[in-house]
Amino acid sequence: MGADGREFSGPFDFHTQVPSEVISSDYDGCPLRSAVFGSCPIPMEEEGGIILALTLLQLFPRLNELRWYPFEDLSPWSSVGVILADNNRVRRNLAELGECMCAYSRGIGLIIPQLVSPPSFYKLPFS
Amino acid sequence: MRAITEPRAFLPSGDAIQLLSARFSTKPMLPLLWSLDWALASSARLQTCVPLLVSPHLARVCFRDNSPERCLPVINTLIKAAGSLESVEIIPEFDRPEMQDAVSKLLLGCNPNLLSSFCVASPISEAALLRAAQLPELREFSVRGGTPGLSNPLPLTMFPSLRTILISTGRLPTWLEVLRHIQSKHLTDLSIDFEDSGNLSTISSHLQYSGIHRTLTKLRLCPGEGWIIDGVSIAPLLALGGLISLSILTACEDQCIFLLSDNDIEHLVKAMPKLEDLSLGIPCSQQVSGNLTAKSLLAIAKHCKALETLKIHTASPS
Repeated sequence: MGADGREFSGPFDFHTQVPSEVISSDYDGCPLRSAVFGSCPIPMEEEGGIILALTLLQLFPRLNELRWYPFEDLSPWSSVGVILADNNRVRRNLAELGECMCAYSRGIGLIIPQLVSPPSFYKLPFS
Repeated sequence: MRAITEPRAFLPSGDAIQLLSARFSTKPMLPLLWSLDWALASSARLQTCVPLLVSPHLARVCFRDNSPERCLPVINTLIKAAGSLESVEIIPEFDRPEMQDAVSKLLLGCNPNLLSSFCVASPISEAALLRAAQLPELREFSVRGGTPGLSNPLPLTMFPSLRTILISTGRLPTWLEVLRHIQSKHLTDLSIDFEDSGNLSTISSHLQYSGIHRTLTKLRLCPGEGWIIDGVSIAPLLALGGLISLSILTACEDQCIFLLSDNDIEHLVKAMPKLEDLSLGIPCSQQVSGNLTAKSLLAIAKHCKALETLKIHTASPS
């Protein structure tokens, strides 16, 4: 089963479309480990940013390195970690992701911590 | 001794060189030397040792230096040992006529049945190119710099055993003509750096009709400034269904030159399901924007079940 279980009617909108609407439940994943975006595709507000993060993690469950350019437009990520900070393991991982993204926005660089998790991880929180 | 690296480690001083030169002036210092990895970064006097190190058994040579004045005499010395060479790697990049002459003579002096790898960072003459193209055992070939236009017709059989070729040139038409004549059924790795103005589709079309597309697994294209990467230009590449690595590397200037659409990316990844590495563009440090959206990511995730690294230019957020 592919990633586009539902046909698109237009450009993917991180503000309104959550991954469960476009990723099939039995999607078997792409082994991508490293991604570099020449220009940042991340919406400049928290909700879209979170959805993109979750989308990336659902599409590419082994992703452990993510970089994007230019650097300076990443300040919205500073609140992603705060929003996702929770006791839930998934959210804890994503909180780490958010913190790393914050660090990257300060020009330090981003290596996402180990995000490879049990399959149940990929079903949350949108399944 | 079979191999030696970093000769400076045991020939540190000019006095030692003079002593050794006197002792070994009439015969090779290491008569059984098989491999020489030579880095001359600081001492011009060390080059005087090279004639002493050239043995009748010398098969592999790797030479690095940043000075043509030091490099040329060494290459001219190696020409005398060319008959035993199986692998030649000369790393410094000198686009100078005398370097072209020396490197070309080196290649022309090699035993055609022994030479399997010839990688130099300088131009070669047309005669040397035609000679290289007919070497039956040549598996790896790399040249840089301008190559003269071809005044003679190309032979029917060119590079019959070639596995890897790297071309860095300002004269793309010559090499495109060569690519069309490559007969190797084993060519897996092709890398082209070029500065000519033009369109990527020119190269793509040559690859499609050269026969290379049947075996190629790694393709790296580095166009110069002014090239546009769009759906039309990459369409011929879709015939390269066996690629595991595709890199089209060029930097954007004022605006993103990667004009690929989400549909273009979907066609690309559909045609190349074995991709492990996909690099479309050098990450820009400026505020530029491509056309790709998350739909491209979804297409990549769907069709590339072996992909491990990805570099793309995406649309900036609105």
